[in-house]
Amino acid sequence: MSSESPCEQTGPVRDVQKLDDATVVTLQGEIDMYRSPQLRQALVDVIGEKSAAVVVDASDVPHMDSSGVATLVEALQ
Amino acid sequence: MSINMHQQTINITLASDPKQICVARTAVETFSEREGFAKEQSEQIGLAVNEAVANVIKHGYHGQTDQPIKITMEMTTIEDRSCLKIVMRDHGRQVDPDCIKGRDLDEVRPGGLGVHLMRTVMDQVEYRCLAEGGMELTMLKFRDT
Repeated sequence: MSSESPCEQTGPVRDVQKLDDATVVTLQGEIDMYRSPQLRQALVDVIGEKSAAVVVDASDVPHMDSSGVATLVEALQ
Repeated sequence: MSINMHQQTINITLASDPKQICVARTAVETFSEREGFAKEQSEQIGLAVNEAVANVIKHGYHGQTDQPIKITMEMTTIEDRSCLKIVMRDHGRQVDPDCIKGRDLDEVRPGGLGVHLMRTVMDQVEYRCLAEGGMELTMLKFRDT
């Protein structure tokens, strides 16, 4: 039995790109209560690397609920 | 999860598993758009249901993933206005409905946005405690708004 959501079969983070002055985290797919913990862990890992700035690209996220927003706010703080 | 259609009413029974939130949301969006709501409105209605289900999972069932959540949706007429009525029932922890409200958004902190989003999207949001235990949520969206 698949442990994945019936709607999304891939993680919410498509790519993490380290640039000179920032780390760009590119998201994909829908972010909801099921997938936001994965996003949280990815952001924790990125923030832990002490990049000068973290940029989150959500241009390819068609839906994000309040759990996703909360994850971003938590990362901001 | 089960989805049953009876005439113009759709009944969805899902487990309190976050994996199933997206299926309920998609069903609500599809039903709303089919009943004449614009695509963006339908997505917002889906978001309201998404938030409501997440609240039941988190607060009503304390994260248990095997408890039932029942959603009924139908078009109805209230005071001569066509309206989407969504009713959600659970067997979880009961809360005084007067205590379920959005928080002050001036405070920037994670969490606590679900009820605010529901009340922003839907025209009416009402909770009540069920005599047999659990909560019932009724949300209305008028088609002409």
